[in-house]
Amino acid sequence: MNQLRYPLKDRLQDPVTERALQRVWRGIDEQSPRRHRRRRLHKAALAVLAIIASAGLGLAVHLRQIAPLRLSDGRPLRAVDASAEAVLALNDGSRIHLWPGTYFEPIESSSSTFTAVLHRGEARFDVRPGGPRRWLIECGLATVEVLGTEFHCRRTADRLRVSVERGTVLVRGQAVPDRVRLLTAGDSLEVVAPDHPR
Amino acid sequence: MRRPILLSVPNAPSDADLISRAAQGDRFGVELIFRRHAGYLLGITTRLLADRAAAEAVVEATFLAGLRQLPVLREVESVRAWLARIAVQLARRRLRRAWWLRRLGWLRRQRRGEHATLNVFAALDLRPEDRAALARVDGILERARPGRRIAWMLCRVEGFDLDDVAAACGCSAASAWRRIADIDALVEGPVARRPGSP
Repeated sequence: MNQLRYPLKDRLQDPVTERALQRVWRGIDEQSPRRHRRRRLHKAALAVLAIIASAGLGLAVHLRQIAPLRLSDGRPLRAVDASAEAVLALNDGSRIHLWPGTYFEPIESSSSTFTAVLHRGEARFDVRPGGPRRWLIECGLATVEVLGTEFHCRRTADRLRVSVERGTVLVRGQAVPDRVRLLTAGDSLEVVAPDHPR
Repeated sequence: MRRPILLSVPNAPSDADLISRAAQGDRFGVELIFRRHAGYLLGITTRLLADRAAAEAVVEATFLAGLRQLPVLREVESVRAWLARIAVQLARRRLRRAWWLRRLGWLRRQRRGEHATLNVFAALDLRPEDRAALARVDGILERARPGRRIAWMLCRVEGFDLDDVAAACGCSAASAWRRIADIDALVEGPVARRPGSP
């Protein structure tokens, strides 16, 4: 006859071992809220450090941007009377290409503005978009104002030709039709001295 | 030889004390709750799941879930039953997933080495025919739907009364009884019913 009676547990061995309990406890202890709290604190500390580091980096970049514009090798930007073709690589990533016979003179460089005079000759400006400075290029017959673009200026004694390859520029001057003209990529404008016979 | 000194601990902390300590993040309270109830839970889940590793994972998850709910626990005096309910729910979820995966053919039956069935835990002095009866019960339980298997095992293996089975299964007493009766009908031969049992 069958000896088995309910509950069957009474006729079974205990499946629980101390080793199994220790394994389970280790698993619980590793994931307990206290450890989680400690892990969360570590994560928070790391996040704070990351924020401080990125803020420091941002500040360094900002300080570099608000300093006067310099050449990419750190030398100050001075007037250039180019006897041969020259390229001025600037520390904000912009480049100025000067043709032979060009006289280019920076007159103001601050955190927000860079002003230069193209006394004569031909230059191509590749201004880094999104930069902190407003660029103003005085070309005698007109002033070219840019934010981030690539444009070309050729100045002779009685003429100025501005052509834009990328972005937008604003050309201002007495000799400019309506005193101001907006040029976009592909546009060009020739400004002639008023007393010059066309 | 020196005789060991027996230290009596007449005022062992109650579950309610331990819960309030654990809820405040006291590791000792957590560990004592674990030591007090983990063996019981691991025994039940090992028999329910017939898989030692899965049972350990369920007990670990049970305690982690319990620790999260400690601050809002109301039934502080019946922690064991409350933890058992969580463990049974988690075990049922596992069994249900495995049952569906087996039905879909995506999961093979457990390998022999992983078995932790009733027959494996049979008491050493059990007669061979009783062992054979347990093996037949194991076969029936392996094919049974998870809800029925759990209800039957809680009642017939663990010795829960009908209300406790219903509470642990999250169903009404009538549903619990129906589930138990379904398996009883299949098991009637191998195991003699205890006189006066439902």
